[in-house]
Amino acid sequence: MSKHQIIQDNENKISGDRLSPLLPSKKEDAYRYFKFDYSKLNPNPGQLTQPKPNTNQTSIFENSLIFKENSKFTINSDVFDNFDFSASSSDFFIDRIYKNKSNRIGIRIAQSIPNETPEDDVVVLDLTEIQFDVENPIHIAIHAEKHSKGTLIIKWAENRPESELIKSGLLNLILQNGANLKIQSVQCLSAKTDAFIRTQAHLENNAVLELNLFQFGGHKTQNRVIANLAGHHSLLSIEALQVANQNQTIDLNLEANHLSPDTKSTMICTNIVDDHAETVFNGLINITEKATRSSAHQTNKNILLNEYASAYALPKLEIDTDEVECSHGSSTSTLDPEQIYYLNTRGVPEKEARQMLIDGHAFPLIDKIKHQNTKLFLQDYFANKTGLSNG
Amino acid sequence: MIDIKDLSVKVESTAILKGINLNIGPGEVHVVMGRNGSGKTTLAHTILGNPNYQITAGSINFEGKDISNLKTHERAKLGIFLGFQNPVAIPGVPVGNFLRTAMRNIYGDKYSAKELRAQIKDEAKKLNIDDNTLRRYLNDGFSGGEKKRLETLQLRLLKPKLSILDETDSGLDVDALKRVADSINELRNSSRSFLIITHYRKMLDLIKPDKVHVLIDGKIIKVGNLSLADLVEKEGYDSLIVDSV
Repeated sequence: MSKHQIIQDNENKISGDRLSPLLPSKKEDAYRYFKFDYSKLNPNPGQLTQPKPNTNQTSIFENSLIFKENSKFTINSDVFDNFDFSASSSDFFIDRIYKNKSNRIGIRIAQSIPNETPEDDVVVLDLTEIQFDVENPIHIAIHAEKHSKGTLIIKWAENRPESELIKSGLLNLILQNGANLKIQSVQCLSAKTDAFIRTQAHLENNAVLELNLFQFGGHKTQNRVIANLAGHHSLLSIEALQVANQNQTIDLNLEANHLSPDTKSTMICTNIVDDHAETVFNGLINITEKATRSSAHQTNKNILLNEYASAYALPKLEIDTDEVECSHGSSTSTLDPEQIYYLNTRGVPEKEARQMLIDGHAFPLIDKIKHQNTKLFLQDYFANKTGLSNG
Repeated sequence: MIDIKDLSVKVESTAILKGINLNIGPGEVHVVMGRNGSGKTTLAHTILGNPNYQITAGSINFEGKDISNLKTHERAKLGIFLGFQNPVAIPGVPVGNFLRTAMRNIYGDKYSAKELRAQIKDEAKKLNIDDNTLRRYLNDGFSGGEKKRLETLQLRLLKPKLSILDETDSGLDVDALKRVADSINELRNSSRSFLIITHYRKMLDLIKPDKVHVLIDGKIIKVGNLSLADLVEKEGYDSLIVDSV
């Protein structure tokens, strides 16, 4: 088996060989460096197995979440059949949601969501206290039912700064017809942790999936997203912000498979790279023969703050039909001296001007987080990390 | 206020300014006119210390102090302001945040955050700049007129001792032009000076400058009063070049 054949997915028939011929030699080295491989993950990640009875229950959600009538988030009864919060005639409160012993979390987003859901009404899934690694990966399954709507923040963090774990997590998303799901994934793992996070999404007719990916932490991390736009008029929007410094490698693989007509996808990835760090953006848009009248756009922007920092970009389109609107592009630059000069003319010193520009590349996406605690956490983390750059 | 002597400047290996002499006293308004490419913008950026422009000879003194070796932000803090001809867009930096940061750097701790916000809102209102504009990203997607208005707002907020306005009037309609001129006249006093780069006679009618300089091929070839601008408008720059030869 070659080093790239480990990138294999039984369900989607995606193999590493499809990507590997395009990888630069340095990136191949980066892959080789990862000590874990996909084969150690659940061999059938699309299916949740029937769970064992819940023992060793751990609270993983923030306290005092308020769920209104016809609550959006309920525990998936297929996974945890002794919990059912879905039916209620009045408002109720949940302050605990449980995972089972085998690190499987099931969330069902129920039908009949009230139309006037407040913007900041989100659920935060904080994995800080959860023990998981490559041998025992965490597996989160979200099933958004027809015409449901919800926002979930997943916080990948740990409270052991010196851990040298290899962590892995799997996120399965199923969006039924008309479901509207926003996932904001915040990865702030410890500086010595290697991590692999994988997301698989299946979108039915008119489903909308918005993914905001914040990749800040870890030592060498790889995040791979495979989304199948299976239903007509389904829509995928991915915005990623990756901030790497010191000797980090942050690797993002995005793949949108357009399988039906009138589907739309956008991928925007911004990388801010300092010190000797490196980032990878590997984006694939695959428009199949059936996906007529589809549109897909892919943008990658890399900001290098240091002459030793590097960013690898592999935006790619595969189009097997006509009548599509597609674009892809990648740019790599340093901070714009003209912008710095403009700020200087307003009395802003060099260092502060550079920081303003760095913030300007990041804050528009961070501002999309409406949950105040998470937003402040991320802003602080970002400020501490990028504040190290003295230019 | 500012005393420029025998200033020569090059960009990369090309000489742009070739021995400029210009003295602007406190409270004076000077205008520089000249053909495209004559060096007007170079003069403005050199005074601000743009690193792309290299001084090869001469000096720039501001309030009696040689500023040639100061960094751009230090010159700004001394009270020198440049209104850009085409200000750069900075996506991701909201206008309001930018203005507060600029004011904090210019004024130090003189005003609280609340006072800064109030001043910005108040001055913005005078220029018909609404709150939505203050939340937009700096010059990002702004029309030419909106950019000029924002430059004027900064002028009003930062209240510099020397304001250099590089074609702030270009591309403006009559009303917008009047607002810019009103701002200049409002700020104008015995301790504030202006260096205005323009192609348009209309602006001069509204601000009534003390002196008009004509800059051609990196040299000031003629200095006069408002009547010099009339002559330029009537006969063009060629007649002045012939005169100076």
